[in-house]
Amino acid sequence: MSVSVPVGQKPPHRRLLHRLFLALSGEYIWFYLLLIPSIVLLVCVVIIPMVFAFKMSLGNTTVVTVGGKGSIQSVWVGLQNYVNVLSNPYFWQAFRDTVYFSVVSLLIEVTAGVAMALLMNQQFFGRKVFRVIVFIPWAVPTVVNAMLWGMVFDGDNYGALNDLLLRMHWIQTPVIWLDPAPLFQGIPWLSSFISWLGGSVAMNSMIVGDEWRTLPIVAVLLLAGLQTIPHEYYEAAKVEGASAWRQFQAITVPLLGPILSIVLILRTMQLLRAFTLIFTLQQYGLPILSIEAYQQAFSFGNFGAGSAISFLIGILSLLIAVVYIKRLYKEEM
Amino acid sequence: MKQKWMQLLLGLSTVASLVAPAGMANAATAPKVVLKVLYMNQAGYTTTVLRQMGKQFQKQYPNVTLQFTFLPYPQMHSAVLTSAAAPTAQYDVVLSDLIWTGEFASRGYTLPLNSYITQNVKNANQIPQSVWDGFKVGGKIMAMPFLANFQNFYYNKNLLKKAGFNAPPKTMAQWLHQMQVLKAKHIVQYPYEDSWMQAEGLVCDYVRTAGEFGNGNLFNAKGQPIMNQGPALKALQWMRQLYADGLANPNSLTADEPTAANAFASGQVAFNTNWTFLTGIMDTKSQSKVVGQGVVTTFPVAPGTNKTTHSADISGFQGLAIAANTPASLRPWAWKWIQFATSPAVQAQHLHSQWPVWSQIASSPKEKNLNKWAAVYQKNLNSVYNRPVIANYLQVSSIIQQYVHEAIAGTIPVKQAADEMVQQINQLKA
Amino acid sequence: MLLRRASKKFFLYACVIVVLLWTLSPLYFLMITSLKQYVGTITFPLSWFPTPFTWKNYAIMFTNYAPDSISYRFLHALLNSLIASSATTILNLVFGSAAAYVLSRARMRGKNIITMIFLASNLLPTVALIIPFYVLTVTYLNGWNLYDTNTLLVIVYSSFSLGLVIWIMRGYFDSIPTELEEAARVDGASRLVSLLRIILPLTAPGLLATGLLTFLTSWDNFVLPLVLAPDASAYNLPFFIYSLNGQYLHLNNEIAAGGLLSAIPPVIIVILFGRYIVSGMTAGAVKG
Repeated sequence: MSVSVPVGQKPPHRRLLHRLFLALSGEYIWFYLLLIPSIVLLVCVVIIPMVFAFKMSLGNTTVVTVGGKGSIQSVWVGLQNYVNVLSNPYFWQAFRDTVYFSVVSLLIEVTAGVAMALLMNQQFFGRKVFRVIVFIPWAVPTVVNAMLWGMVFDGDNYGALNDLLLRMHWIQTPVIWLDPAPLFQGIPWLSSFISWLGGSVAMNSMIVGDEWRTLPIVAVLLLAGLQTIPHEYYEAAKVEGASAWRQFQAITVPLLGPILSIVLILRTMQLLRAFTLIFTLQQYGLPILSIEAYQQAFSFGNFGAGSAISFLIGILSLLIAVVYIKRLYKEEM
Repeated sequence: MKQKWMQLLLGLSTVASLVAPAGMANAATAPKVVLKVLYMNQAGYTTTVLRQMGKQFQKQYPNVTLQFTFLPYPQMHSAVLTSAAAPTAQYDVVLSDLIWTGEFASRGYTLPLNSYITQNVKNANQIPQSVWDGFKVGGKIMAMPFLANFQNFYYNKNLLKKAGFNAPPKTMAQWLHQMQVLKAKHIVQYPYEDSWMQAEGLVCDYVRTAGEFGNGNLFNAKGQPIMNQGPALKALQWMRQLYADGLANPNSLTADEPTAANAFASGQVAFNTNWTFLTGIMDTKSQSKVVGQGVVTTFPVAPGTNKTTHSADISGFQGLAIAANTPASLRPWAWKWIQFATSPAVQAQHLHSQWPVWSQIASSPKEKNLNKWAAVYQKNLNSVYNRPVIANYLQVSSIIQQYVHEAIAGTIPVKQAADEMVQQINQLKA
Repeated sequence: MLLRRASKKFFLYACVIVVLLWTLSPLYFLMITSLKQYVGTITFPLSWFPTPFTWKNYAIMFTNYAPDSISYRFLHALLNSLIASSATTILNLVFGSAAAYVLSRARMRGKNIITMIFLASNLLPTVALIIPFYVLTVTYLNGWNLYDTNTLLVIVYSSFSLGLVIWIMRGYFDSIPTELEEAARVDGASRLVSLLRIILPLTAPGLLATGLLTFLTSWDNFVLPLVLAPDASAYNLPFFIYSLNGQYLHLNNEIAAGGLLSAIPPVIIVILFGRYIVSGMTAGAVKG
C-alpha cells in the first residue's frame, strides 16, 4: 500500500473503484480471497436458511402437489403461527421440560463437575491414566450413548440397572426408569412439586444418561482452569493456616469462576438443542422444544409451525450466545 | 439353499407364463426406465424378499431398473413427505401405511389408483373388504393392498397350565380371571405385557381393546370422536385396571412392540398381543426361551359382541402407492410394478414370510401346510378394526397417545382423560 | 496426624474408585452385551459375564456382504462417516484458519463483528436450521440433487463447526507477534510464504485441536443425516445404529457390537490427543 493517491480529487464512485482496484492488486488480495469461502459458507448455510425459516414461519407452510409437481407452499398468515405456538399448552409444557432438563443438568455439572475436576487435580497413584479414562465417555457417539442407557434403564427385570438393584435387594420389583411418571410418589407434595417443575422419572433418567457423556468434558475443562491457578496461592494460604474449605472459597472459586461460567453458558446452549438422546429413547413421548419442532415439521407436515418453534429456539440461543461472547471479550481485556 | 432357488425358479416360470405375452411384447420396444421404490425395513416381506421380487420383475420387463430405498418405520412418513415436496418425486412407488390414507388423499401426495385397479385387477373381491377399507377414502383408492399385517393373541401354554388353565380365555372376564390367578399363584410377576409406549403402537392396542369390548371405531358415522363413551371408554378403563392391579407389566408404558415381544420370548409374561412377526420369533431357538410354548389364538371378546367373527383385531395393512409427482411417462411402469408385487402369483411364492392379502391364497392348502396357525390367522384377519381414516390422523393419533398414556399411568382419571381427548381433537378440527 | 492423613488418602481413593465405576461400568456392560447371544440379553437374572458367548455380533458387521445385509450397511456407514468427517475437517481447517488469519491480521473495520457473527453461527441449535435447510434442499435446490448425499452433509457439518475453528485459530494467530512475520518478509518472503513457513508451524497445536474437534462433532452427528440423508447410500454410523434398533426385535447384542465399533475411532482420538483438544478449547474459550 505504498502508492498514495490524492483521493480527494476524484468523484466518490471512482474513489471507491480505485480503492477496490488497489485492494485487489496489492498483496491484500490474499486477505479477501482467504476470507471469501468462509463468508460464502456462512451466508449460504446459516444466514439464508435463517431468513428463510423466518419467512416460512410467517405462513401456513405445507407440502403441496399440484399437476404432478411437488412443492412447499406458504400462505401468508403473519404472526399467526407464533400466536398459535405461544398459546398452545403443549409448547409451554415442552418449554418447561426443556428448562427442567437444562437446569438440573447444569446443577449437576456445577457440583459433580467441579468435584470431579478437584479430584483429578489431587496427587494420587495413577492420576495420569485416571484423567484419560474419565475423558472417554465424552468420545462415545450420542446415539450409542442413548442405546447404552436404553439397555441400562430397561424396565424389565433383565434391564442392567434393575438386575443390579434386584440382586442387592434394594428394590422388590423392577423400576420403570423410562416412564414419564411423577417421582417420589410416596410423598405427594414433593411429587406434585417436581411434576410441576417438569421432572419425571423418565426425564431424570435422561439427564443421568446425558450427564454420563457430558460430565467428563465439563470436568476436564474445569481441570484445565484449576491448573492455571498458581500453586503459590495455596502455599501462602496454608502458611496463614487457612482450612481446605476456606482455601476453596477464597482461591479456587473466584479463580475458577470465569472458566466455569463460560463452560456453563456453552453447556446451556448445548442443552437447549438436545435432541438425539431423548428422540432415540422416547420418540415423541417426552417432547422438549427441539423434538416439538421436529414433530410439527416432519411428522405433521406443518413447516410453518415447525419453523416458528425452531426460530424461537434460535432466538433464545442467540440471546445466550450474546452473553457468552460478551463474556469472552471481557476475558480478553 | 438349493431348494429355495428351485422354488424361486419354479415360481418364476409360473409368473412368466401368466403375464408373458404382454410383457415380452412391451419389452422389445419399451424405453429404458428407472423406477425408484421406497420400502420399509421390516420383518415378513424383508429387504431380501423385495429384491427377489424386483429381480423377477426385471426379468419380465428388462427395460425397467428398480432402485430400492429401505428405511425404518419412523422415517417412512417423513420420507414420503420429502418426496412429495420435490418438483419430481424422489420415490415413484412408496409403501403406504393405512393410517396415512386420509392424509395422502386430502393433501394429494399420492395418486388415486381407481382407474388402474378397475381396469387391471381381476377378482378384486378376493381381497377382503376390510383391507380395501383401509386404503379407501371418499371413493378414492389410495394404494393397492400389499401386505396384511394384523395382531394375534399370544399366550404361553406352559404358564397357563401351571395356573390350572388348559384353554385360552374366550371372554374378557375369563382373561382377567386367568391373569389374576397367574399373579396370585406367583407363576409370573406380571401376566401380560404390551406396547403402550407413547407411540402408534399404543393407539393400535387401544383400538383393538375397544374392539374386544364391541366396537373399535373411535369416530362415529358423522366423523365425531367418541372416545368418552361405550367400548372405547371401557377399553381405557380396562387398560388402566390392568396397570393398576399389576396384571400388565408396568414396563408396558415404555415398551414398543419389539420390547413386548422380548418379554414374551423371555418367558417373563404369559400373554402378549402383537403383530404376526412374533409367531416366527417365539419358536426360533436363537431368539426365544419359550420355544414350543407359545400359542397363537383369537382375541377374547366381551360376551354378546363381535358375534360373527368371535375375535376383535387391529389392522396394520400396507399398500403400494404411486407418488403424485411421479412423471406421467413413469406412471404406467410404476403401476406395472405394483401390480406385479401385489399379484396373487407373486404373493403365493412368499407365503413363508408374509400372510397374503388375497383370500384364495390365504385359504390355499399350501398356506395351511406352511403355517399351522393359518385358521386362527384367517379368523383374526376377518375381525379387524381399522384406525380412523382421516386427513389429520397423525395429529389426532398424537393426542390419543398422550391421553391414553396418562390415563393408564393414572396421572389423569380415565373419564377425564377421555373427555379431554375428545375436546382436544374437536379443537384440532376447528 | 498420621491417622488423619491416612483417612484422607482413603477418602481420596474411595472417590477415585466411585468415579471409575461410574465411568467404566456402562462401558463394561456394553462390551459384555456385545459378546452375548441374543437370549443372554433377555435372561433374568442377567449374567454380568458374556454368556452364552459369541463373536457373531462382530462377525456379521464384516461378513456376508450383500445388498441390505448388516455388513453392507455397516461398512457403507463407516465409509460415509469417515469420508464426511474427514472432508469436513479438511474443509474447515483450510477455510477456517485462512479466515482466522485474515481476521487476526487485517486492519479492517468490523473484523471483530465478523468474528462474532461466525462464533454466533456456531452456537445456533441444529434444529433451528434443519427445517429451512431441508426445505431449500428438496425444493429450490432440487436440481442439484443434493438430498441423500455425503456432499450435502459435508457442507452442513462445516457450517456448524466453522465458527469455532475461526474463533480458536484467531486466538492462536493473535498470540504470534507480527514482528516475526515482518522479519521474514524483510528477508524477501511474500506474505503467503511467511504464512506457510513461519506461522503455520507455530499454530500446529491449534490446527490439531480444532481439526480433531471438528472430526469428533461430525462423527457424532445424528439429526442432520436423519433429516437430510436417510438413505443407506449416504447415512452415517449413528444413523446405522439407530436403524438397528428400529427393526422387529431389539437385538441389544448387535446394537452393542455396532455401537462399540463406531465408538472406537473417537475414543482412540480422545485417548491419544485429548490433551490437545482441551488446550485448544480452553485457548479459544478463555484466553480468546
